[in-house]
Formats: sequence, C-alpha cells, structure tokens
Amino acid sequence: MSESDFEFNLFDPEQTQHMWDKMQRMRRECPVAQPSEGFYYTARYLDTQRVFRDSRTFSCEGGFRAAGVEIPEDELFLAEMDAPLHPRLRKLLLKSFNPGMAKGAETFTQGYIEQLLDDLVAKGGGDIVGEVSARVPLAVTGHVLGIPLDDIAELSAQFFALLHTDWPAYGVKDREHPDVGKDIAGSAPELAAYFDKMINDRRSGNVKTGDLVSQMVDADIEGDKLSTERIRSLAINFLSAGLSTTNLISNLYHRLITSDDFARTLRDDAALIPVAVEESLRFEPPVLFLFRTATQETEIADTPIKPGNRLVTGIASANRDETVFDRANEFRLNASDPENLAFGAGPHLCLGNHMARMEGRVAVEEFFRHFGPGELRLAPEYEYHLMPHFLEYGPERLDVVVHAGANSR
Amino acid sequence: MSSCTPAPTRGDSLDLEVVIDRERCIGSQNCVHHLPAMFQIDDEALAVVIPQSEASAAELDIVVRDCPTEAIQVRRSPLKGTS
Repeated sequence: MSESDFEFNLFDPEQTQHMWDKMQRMRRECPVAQPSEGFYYTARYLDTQRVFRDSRTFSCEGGFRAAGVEIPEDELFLAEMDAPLHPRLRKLLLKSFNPGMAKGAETFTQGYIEQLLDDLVAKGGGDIVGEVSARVPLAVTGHVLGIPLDDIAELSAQFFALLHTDWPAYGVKDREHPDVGKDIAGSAPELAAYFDKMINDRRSGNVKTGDLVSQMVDADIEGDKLSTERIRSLAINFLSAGLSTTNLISNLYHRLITSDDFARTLRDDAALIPVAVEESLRFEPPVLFLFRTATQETEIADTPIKPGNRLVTGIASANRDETVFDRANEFRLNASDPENLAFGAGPHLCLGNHMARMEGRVAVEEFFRHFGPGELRLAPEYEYHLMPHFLEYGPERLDVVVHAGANSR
Repeated sequence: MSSCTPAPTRGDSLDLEVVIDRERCIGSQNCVHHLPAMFQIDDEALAVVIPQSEASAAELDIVVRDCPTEAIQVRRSPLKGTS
C-alpha cells in the first residue's frame, strides 16, 4: 500500500467526514500520513495525544484561520495562542471554568431544554437540530457570560454573520465581502457594541453580577486588567467554541431516535447517561481534528517533522485506536475507557469540557422526560446529511415527528 | 504567593517531596497522564498530589519536564530522617 493512498483534501467534508475505513488503515499502515503537502495527520491515539500535550514543540499559532487572515493580538482566540500569553489567560479563566461552572448552569440548561422540547411537542415535530441542539450551546454559554436569554436570538444572527466573514474566518470565507472589517468591531459593529456595553456596565459598577463577563472585568494578569477587546473576543471565543456541543447533542438524539436498544438501555439505567455522552464524544467526536504547527525538528512514529510543518491531530481516528479502546469501531458503553481525545489534551484541553458534558447529559435526561419509547421518530422523508463542514461531525438536520403520548409539561 | 501541596513520596533511594505550584498550574493534566497514581485533578480543575503516593525519581523527572508551565517541583523531603 503506497502512501499516496492516504492523500485527501483536509478541507473537503465529503472526504474528511467519510474516512473511517481510511483511518483504520492509516492506524495500521501509515500512522503519520501526508494528506497534502506540508500536512501530517496523526492517526494513532498516543501520537495524537503527544502532539496535543507538547505545546512547546507543536504550536497553536495560526491555528484555524483562513490563509492570510491576520488577527489583532488582543483578539486572538485561546486556540491560537502560545506561551507565555496562553497559560496566563488560561490560568485566569480556570478560576471560572471548572466543574462548579457546569453545576451552576445546570438548572438553566434543564429549564431551557425543557421549554424547547415542550415547543417541539406542541408543534408535533420539527428539525430537532435547529429547534433544540443548535440553540442550547449559545443560550447556555450566553447565560454563563451574563447575556439574557431574550438577547440571544438577536445576537446569534450577528454572531453567525461574524463567523462567516474573514473575521474570525471560522472555516468559511464570505467570498462576496472579503474585505469586511479588520477586527470584530469592524466586522460586526453591533455585536461588538453589545459586548462593550456589558463590559462597561460592569467596569463602572452599574451592573453587579457574578457572571463570567464580570469575572473577566475584575481579573488581572500580574496587575494588568484585560482590555475591552480581549474580553469581547474571549466572549465570542466561548460562544463559538461552545457551538460544537450542537453536534454532541444532535449525535446523541439521532442515536436515541434510531436505536431502540440504546434508548432502552439508558432509559432503564440513568447512571449510564454520562457513559453514553463519553461514548458519543469518542465514537462520533463533534470536532474531527485540529491543527498545530511544528516549532522544531522532531519525529512522530519514525516520520521526520520539520519546523513549519502542519500537524493534523486526528481526534476521530485516535478515538477509535484499537490498541487503546476495546471494540473501538463499535458504539458501546464502557465506563472504564481511557479518556478519549474529543476535547484535545494538555495545555489547551477544552476549557468548556465540563459544560459540554453537562449539556449532553441534560439533553438526554430531558429527552426521556418528554418522550416514551417510540414517541419521537424520524420524519418519513428524512435523509441523514452531516453538517457541511470539514472538521465537524453531526447531522445538519434531524426532522422528527412526535407521536401520541409525548409529554409536554 | 504560591499555595503549595507538598506530599511525601519515595524516590529511588531518596525521600522526595513533590510540590505543585497552583499559581502556575493550568490544568493540562500532563502529570495525570504520566502518573495517574500520583496526580489527579481537583474541583478547581488544577492538579493535586495524591497523598502517600509513590514514584521513582526517573518517573518524576519526566513529569517535571513535561509540565507546560513548570508548575511541578521535586525536592528532597525536609522530613527525611526525622521519622
């Protein structure tokens, strides 16, 4: 088998979302493949974990932006920062981002999902991705930040518009307006103004809350306060990072609706729900891979890596590494699995991992409180398609029909 | 000021003390990866040393070098010879 068999277009979802067999062969035959010139894809668990953990050798700079996009220093996202800035900011944010944050947001999350599922029941069905799983992460992250639920709907339109411009170039360029803005305030003035008001209200003491924006306003790094631009950018960073949880909830809902065995197992034993969330993250990771850049010469699985080479951390492949996970290519519930790499590892380990896990678990719990066996089914004409994004993994829509007996409370 | 979590450990032939500087730790869990019997993550998402845990000096050396923020120190225990 020659290496050229493992060439693929990293930016084509038709390829990256449908290469489970190729990943399996890569793990066996070519653990560090070159999908294209200058890119090195790590297919095995330990290699992928090593790239994540060794942030000195594998830099985050330039992480995920479209080529040529330059970001003002104060508007960098955490995933594109290196030391010394990254550990300083992470340190400060960890005071907020801990298991307590997820616990604190659980009541809101539960109430919000309950309301969304009630609405779905009342309508007799709909697209559960658009109606529920895509809404939950924005609302919950917004709640933690201190954004009232009433503001989220309006803000989310501006937020998605921002994500689709060159700034912050969340993988999709706005080809019709390639020159919109140079920073967040230029690209999305209304969104920037909303956050700036939030920040100023807290800075001046007009608004007293314990929310995440006020925590960032109050925080300092070695005596320096965070700038308005920094806090605003981090808020947008958290909202956009949280969006991946959409895929987690959608993947869980899809399985609950299409696998009676899976639904029955969890319905009979709620203690298995967190295990199911982990398994969903392992088997169908919401983010298929991420990028790093080598800062020095090194080797991975006997493959020489040069400074400037791009590493593609094959999360989806690593999570099915047969040498690490039993029956790795099956969806199964195994409470004693090693930690999977859905949230990365090491110094950039997803800050919101507790939040995502909580949202996934509550989404399943609320599903069972609303729907008895067989009460939620796929719409007759429904066809499964994935989100059209090269590194995401979750259904684009899930059209469902509510059958009699469902519980709108 | 750093708040430290000292814990006595047994090295190859020395009594060693492992200290995590919680002001530096960023919860990368790299130490947990290497020595899960010695390190764990607490409710603040930071590393702590499991009391009474043991590791060799060679194992500790790897953990110290692999910490991205140099938050782990290993030193000779001041308790050595006193018990």
